Amino acid sequence: MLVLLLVILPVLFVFSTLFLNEKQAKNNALLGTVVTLGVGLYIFSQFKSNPASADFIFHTDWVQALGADFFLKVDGINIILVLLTVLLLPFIIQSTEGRTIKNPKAYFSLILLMQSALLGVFLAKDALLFYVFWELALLPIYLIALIWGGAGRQKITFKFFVYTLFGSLFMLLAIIFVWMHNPDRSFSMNAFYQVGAQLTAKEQLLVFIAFYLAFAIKIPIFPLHTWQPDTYVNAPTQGTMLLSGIMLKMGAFALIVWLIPVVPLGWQLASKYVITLSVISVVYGSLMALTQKDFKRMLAYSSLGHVGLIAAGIFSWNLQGVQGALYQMLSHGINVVALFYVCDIIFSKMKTDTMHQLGGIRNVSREFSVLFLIVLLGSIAMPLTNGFVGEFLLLHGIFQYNMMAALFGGLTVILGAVYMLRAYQAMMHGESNSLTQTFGEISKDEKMILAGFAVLVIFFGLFPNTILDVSEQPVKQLIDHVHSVTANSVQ
Amino acid sequence: MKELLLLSGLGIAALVFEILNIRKLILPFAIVGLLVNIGFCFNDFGTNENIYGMLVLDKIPLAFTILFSFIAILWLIFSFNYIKNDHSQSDHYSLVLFSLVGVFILSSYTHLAMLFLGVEILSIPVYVLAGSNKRSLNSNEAAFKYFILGSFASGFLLLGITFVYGAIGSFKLMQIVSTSMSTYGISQQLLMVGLVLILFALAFKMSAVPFHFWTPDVYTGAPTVITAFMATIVKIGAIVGFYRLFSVVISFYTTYNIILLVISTLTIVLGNVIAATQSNTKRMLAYSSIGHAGFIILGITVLSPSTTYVTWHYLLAYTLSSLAAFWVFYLVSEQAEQEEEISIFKGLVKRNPVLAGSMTIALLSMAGIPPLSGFFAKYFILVNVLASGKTMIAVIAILASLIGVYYYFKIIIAMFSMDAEGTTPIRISGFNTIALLLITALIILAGIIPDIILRFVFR
Repeated sequence: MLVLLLVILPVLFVFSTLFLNEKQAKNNALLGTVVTLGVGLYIFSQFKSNPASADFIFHTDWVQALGADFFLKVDGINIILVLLTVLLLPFIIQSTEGRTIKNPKAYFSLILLMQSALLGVFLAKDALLFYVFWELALLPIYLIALIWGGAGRQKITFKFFVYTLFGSLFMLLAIIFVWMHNPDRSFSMNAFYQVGAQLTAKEQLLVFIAFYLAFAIKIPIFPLHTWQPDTYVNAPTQGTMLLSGIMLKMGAFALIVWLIPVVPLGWQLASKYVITLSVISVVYGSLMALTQKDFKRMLAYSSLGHVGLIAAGIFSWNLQGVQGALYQMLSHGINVVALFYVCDIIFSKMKTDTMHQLGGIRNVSREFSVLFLIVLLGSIAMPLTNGFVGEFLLLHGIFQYNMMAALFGGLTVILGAVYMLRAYQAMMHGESNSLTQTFGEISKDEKMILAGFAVLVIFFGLFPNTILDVSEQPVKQLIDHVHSVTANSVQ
Repeated sequence: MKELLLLSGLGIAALVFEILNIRKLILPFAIVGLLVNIGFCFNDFGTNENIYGMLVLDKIPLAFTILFSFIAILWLIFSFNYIKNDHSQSDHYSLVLFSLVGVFILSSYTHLAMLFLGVEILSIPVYVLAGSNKRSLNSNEAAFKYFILGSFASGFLLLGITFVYGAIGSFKLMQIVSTSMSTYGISQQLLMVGLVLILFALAFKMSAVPFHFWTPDVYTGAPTVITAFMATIVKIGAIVGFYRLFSVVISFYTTYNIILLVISTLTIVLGNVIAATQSNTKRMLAYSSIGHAGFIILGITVLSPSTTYVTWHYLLAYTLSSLAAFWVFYLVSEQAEQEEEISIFKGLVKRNPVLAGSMTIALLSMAGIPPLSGFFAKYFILVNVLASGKTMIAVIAILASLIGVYYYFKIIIAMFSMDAEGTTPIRISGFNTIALLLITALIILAGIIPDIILRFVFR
């Protein structure tokens, strides 16, 4: 039952905002996310000792006519994503402190709804339920970007919406297709694994392509990424954080549990193409990041590169690759949200994030520059930071699959260091100009939040096994399932 | 039988109340009467009452009567805004209640004469209602157009029924099926021509392409409240009438399936494509209702054991959403001096968040976004289409509904992120607010727990 609480709690706090005034909305949302964080951490701590507990399963009939169940379950893989979501949300809510937001009740309600939908996506063990949550997550973020976004938001957000909806409709077709081949008419994940493996290679490839479209648009992977940079730049800071920190992990997560194990032969046939596309994403994203003048846009492209590497790791489908992908999802979520927060701080003070207009901020704000540096080091995969563990495992995994892919994928580490450090240099070092002299010290709230991020960066860099141990067994099982199916088909 | 008497009695009562000069009681009386009607229907489930071999009350008419009575109650509440100041309110109410009798007959007929009667009882009051805004030229034009074309369709219908009778020698649906199966002594050509003519007449009533040309003009010309009535209850009547004929008779002839598949696919595609080009809200909603009709016809054409539920659920989702959409549109256009362009929705969220919220939910549901009821409605139909092996049609339907997203979102974007020209807040009565919130909640509930609602109605 506890698992149901994760999905319900944020919605309950949406209802409570209805009775509050505008000033209390933020605190109410913060309370909601902190309570959810508490539940999430409790589940995480209990899960290690007793993973089969009834607390972690919620299962009831939903649409009997179709055989769809309302089936939520915590397992070793999705618990990492759940942890990421519950960890980040309090930070995201708190990051509005000191900023004025129009119509805060609606804003925070939408963020809470988003949290509920995201947790639902990760926890769902029923394909139709997964689809419904997947779509449900799209609506709040669309409205957040539409109502609170920057200039030109109507076109940009609409493109984003249609793009993702287009992909998910193909996913829906694929889900119905697999479901119809199931004599039991069940949507459960296990049934999908069994039925999907029995399809012919050609059918599996078609299902693979349909699912891949939906997930690749969400992640996004080259060449389906064109909605991403504009949407990131245009959305309000919290929207960008939700999108880049958590929402794109939906796609990567779905690759691991809803794509490759469902159609193993489809993966076998398509893997070299999709890995190539992922690696192109890495190189393209990194190169584009190098050429950007705006910090926020640079972060958007760097994010494209990072998730490309995650996708490549997943498609290489070995223990290191998938484990690395899971770990990197967690790390990247933390790092990118922290970096967007840094960007928000700079923008709120300077009203610009064009890098060459800034400079010398370090001279005026020492503590800010130190905290920024820690977060930045996490992002460029410095050893002892969280980014290092993930990228190391990912590259190891990709290397086992194909050396060339790992070689190009490795560029993300080198290029990442180049553009990130260059950005840091341009904004923080040097002589302060007339603009940056007014920067001043950052507020206490901002310091607290950044310090929190810095702690997470270092904690997950020092103790990766707290996470990796949990997911190791389930990942092994999934990998064995896929390899047993592909091995059988060869004979 | 009780239901039929009750519905007709309500219509007559509305006229009697006018004579007794207690007009204010008509609305509450009608609402209570319809509630009682719903109770009767629940009570009658399983009895399969046969009324003189003309009507039969199996689960299809009962379930659809529950649906249209419920929608009619909501519509009556909605119409209160419009009719309350009108001198002819009793005429309005009695016409509406009489046309409900037509819907009831259409949902339960087993005899072709009743099909014709049902269509006429349903349509004639609506011809009058469409022209009820006497001083408006558009309204008169709408009524006239609807009447002329509707009479044509009725002519086709009668001719078709006659041909079928000529071929078979009976009006009874069951008899038509059993006789036509024996190849001895019947003219298959005559039967085919007859059925095609009936089909065309019903396609006209359902506004399926290529018989849809009246819809946008009539929907735009009629007063908004009446348009809402046509888009919801009249549509239920036409579709359930078609469903009954199709499921009992036509589905035995596979040749018609091809005609119907073509008609329904064309209806979905054209309805959605043309809707995307409209700037007048009512016209856009009219074309979108054509698209929805196409979806329902498609669902009926790929007949399966679940079609009754599927059609019922789609009609529930569609009528709730379009009623909400027309309701909001009416309240907004009232403030904008009867403007009908999409631009009147600009900045609505600041002028009245309840209206904007209900409209958003209604439009998203019509666009088929989960978890709203419109999603499962479309989903059920897609499953049946795919199960019957028509993958290409399913893909076309999906792509067409993606176009739907485009034009529904035009309104949503206008409401949320464009600045209003006149920023006066729109005040609506508490009555309207509660009713709209109720409909919105139902749209969400019918999406989250479709099963519970279907089980509640069908047992």
